[in-house]
Amino acid sequence: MSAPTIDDALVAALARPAVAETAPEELPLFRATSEAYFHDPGSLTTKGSRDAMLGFGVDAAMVLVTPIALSVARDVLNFVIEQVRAQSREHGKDAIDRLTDRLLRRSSKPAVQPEGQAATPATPAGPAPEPEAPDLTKEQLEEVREFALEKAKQFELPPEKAKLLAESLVGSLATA
Amino acid sequence: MIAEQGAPPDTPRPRPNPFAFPSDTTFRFALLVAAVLGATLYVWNWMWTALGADTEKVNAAALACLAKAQSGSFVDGIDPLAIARSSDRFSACVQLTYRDATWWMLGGVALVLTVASALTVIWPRLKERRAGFRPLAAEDAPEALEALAELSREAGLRREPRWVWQPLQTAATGLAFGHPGRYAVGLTGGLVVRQATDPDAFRAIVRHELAHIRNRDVGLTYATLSLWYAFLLVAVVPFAFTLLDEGTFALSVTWRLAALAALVYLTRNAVLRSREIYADVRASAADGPRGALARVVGSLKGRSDRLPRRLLALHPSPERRVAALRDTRPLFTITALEAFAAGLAATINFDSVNSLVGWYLDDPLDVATVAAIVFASLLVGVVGVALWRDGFGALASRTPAQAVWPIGLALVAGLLVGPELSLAGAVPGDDATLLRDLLDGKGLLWVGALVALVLLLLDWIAAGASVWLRAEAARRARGAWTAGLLVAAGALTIILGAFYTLREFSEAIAFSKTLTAQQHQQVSEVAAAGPEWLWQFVMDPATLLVIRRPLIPLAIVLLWAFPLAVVLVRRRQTGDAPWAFLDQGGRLDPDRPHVRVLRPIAIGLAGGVACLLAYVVYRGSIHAFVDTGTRARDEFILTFVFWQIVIALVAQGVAGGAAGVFARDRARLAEVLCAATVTGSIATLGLVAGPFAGGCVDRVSIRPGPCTWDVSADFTWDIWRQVVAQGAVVALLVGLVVVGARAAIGMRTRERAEELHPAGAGLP
Repeated sequence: MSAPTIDDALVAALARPAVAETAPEELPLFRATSEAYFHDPGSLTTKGSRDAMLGFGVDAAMVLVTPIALSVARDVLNFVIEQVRAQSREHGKDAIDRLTDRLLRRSSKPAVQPEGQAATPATPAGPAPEPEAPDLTKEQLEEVREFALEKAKQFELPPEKAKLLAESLVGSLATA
Repeated sequence: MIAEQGAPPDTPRPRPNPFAFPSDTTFRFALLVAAVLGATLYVWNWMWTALGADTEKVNAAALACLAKAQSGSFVDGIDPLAIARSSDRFSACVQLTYRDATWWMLGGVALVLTVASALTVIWPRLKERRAGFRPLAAEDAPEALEALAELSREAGLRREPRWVWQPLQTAATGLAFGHPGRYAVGLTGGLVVRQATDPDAFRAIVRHELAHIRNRDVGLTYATLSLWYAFLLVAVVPFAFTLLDEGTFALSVTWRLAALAALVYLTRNAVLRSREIYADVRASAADGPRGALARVVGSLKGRSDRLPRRLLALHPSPERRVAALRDTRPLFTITALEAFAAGLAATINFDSVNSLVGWYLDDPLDVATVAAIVFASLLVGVVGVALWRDGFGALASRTPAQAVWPIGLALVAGLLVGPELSLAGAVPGDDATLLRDLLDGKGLLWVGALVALVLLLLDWIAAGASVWLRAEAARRARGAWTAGLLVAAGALTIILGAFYTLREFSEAIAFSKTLTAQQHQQVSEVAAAGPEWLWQFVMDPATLLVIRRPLIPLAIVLLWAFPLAVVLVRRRQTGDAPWAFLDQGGRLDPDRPHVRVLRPIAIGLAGGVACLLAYVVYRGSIHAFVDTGTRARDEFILTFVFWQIVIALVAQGVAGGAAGVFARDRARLAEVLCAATVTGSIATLGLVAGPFAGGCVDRVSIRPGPCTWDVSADFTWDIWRQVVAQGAVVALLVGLVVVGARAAIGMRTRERAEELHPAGAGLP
């Protein structure tokens, strides 16, 4: 089974609060960074700099979290959607869409809206109350946290930041 | 440790400014360019032979030249110079036949340069696209852009570079690229974020990249690389097609091209490593040697500093970079490996340029000299500039200057290996290279002569730098180093031109020596002609052909006049020299050089007068003791002139030695040469005035003649050039012995003094 296609806006909506918590100094660059990431996710480089001609030198330190947060968020969403898909019999076939809407609505709240920009064309809230999206169980959230932490570590993010990023992503999912 | 805490803060000495002098690295790039263009000449000459030459037409023209020569139409009667003239005309006739190749060679060079120019413009755009750079917009990072603009102004750039960035690059680093008029600095996402989290580190990294632009590294690096790729594209690729059916020749060419590629690649990396340190040093001027830059560089990823990886790396290790920030003195020196590479690059395609020039000039010495102009000038640009820099570094940091001999030996080694790797060497020929001769045990004297000449020249450059820099003290010595390097370039051009010509015609010289030996035997039957080696030294026509070149006495005069001209520097300013140091508080207050010009001139005059007296005594003795019949014979006159020149050379040697005894400063050999030139000039006057004196005063006459001056100016000019040039050789030998003996005696005296009064003895 092929991996479901995740909307870029959804990824940004999940990653943004995580960046705000993990590396708030990067928020002003979030729009440009996410644009670059969605344009070419493969160009994300976390291997440190190369010994480039007329460059500064080989810098092993990794100081940018946003691209990693975007990448981990995409993987986490894939993971979660797989989980939700399994519960779709219980909650109906539109469970995934409802979860998506909930996340997007959350990201468009003024409290977390970035200054002067919208991460996505947020889906307007419908007038009629919708059926509830499935809540992730505590075990599922723990599973997601482990998954996110593993992914963050794969990007060689420092352990502290990796942990913070994973918890932040899980927090966003839990409160969505 | 507690005691250290209470110690006063460390106050480092001001660092000498490596930008106070031009850098030798620019000339190292230029040497690479010359080597690549030299290879292009060879390749397109080959291409003409393989594709462009009308073989039938060329063969017919060559046969016509031969027929003309054989028919005797070139030979002018029984003139003894007729054979030589005939040979020259035959060569010129053949050269005309091959002159079409010149257009191919020059066309090939033009093509390479055109493609290189296009690549220089295109390359940065390709790089920008491939690396995923995008413009850094004000809406994304307004504060960063503001800081970048300020840093650009601080760096003194006429025009702010384009700022681009890679948002997905997580490391914090930068990259300068582009070409003159369109420079760009690429920042990683990690670096842009640092503007907020660690502004000092951000500024340090950006200053480093701006320093690359300010130091002209970017344009130079991309232009050199573009030239290399253009060479591969429009020279090597078509060349390869013509080699497909060439068998072993193709193999021979391939490994030589690989050697050239390795030279270009390794030299490029070495120069880039050096430029990184220069960029660090310029960037550190704002916050000092222990500021944010040192911190950021120190945190970079370390790597193995072992030789193979070190040669391939584009950046020095962080440890080296931090050390260079604290002590800039190593930036003023040149390593033996760098000198070797310079020698190699200078000779790797010297033959190709020689061939091209050979189609326009007839005289082999002129050909070699013109060909040597380019490479000798660039070589002096590398080694000569490095020695001036070292002289300045030694003065500013009050440390000893580096030894010249390892650099000289390495340079000669490069000059020897270069021809082995040249493309022209792929064609099997009879001419053995100097290195092969050396390995066969035949070229020892040649190599010894080359080593001696190169060492003397390098020592002269270092001595000139030392005395001039001290004389100028706190003033910039721009005029002095420009003049000194021009003289050195001229001298090296003459040395290399003469050396390679003599080498090329060593068989003709051997023949000339045989004839000279016969001449010596012939005249010995009539009069005493001294040992044969001395006769050969003074009278051999092949030697005279070279040393009577007008440029040689001119070079000798300039070689002593330049260092001694420091006596003309009257206003001496010492003290603060902000231009000479990167940090505040630097002072230049060296000892004044102990150079004298009147003393060697006086010694030379005394030597000249002594020589004149010796001529009078010699003439009088001959008049008194040799019968008129013997004196009338040509053989006797030949020995008479020979001994007069020998007397002049002895007088020059003695004058040079005496000048060496009294000379006290680094430019001792300049005083030696000055004294010898003055003595030689007076001796020449005595020599050419002899017939006039003999005509007027019978007691000193050799052959009866009128009391009138009928010596031609040409003869006088010839004798002066010979006496001054050969006298310089003798005086230098004597001077070296005297200077060496004085150094040995001085060392021994110091050792004795040390034994009698050990350092610290008697001190409380």
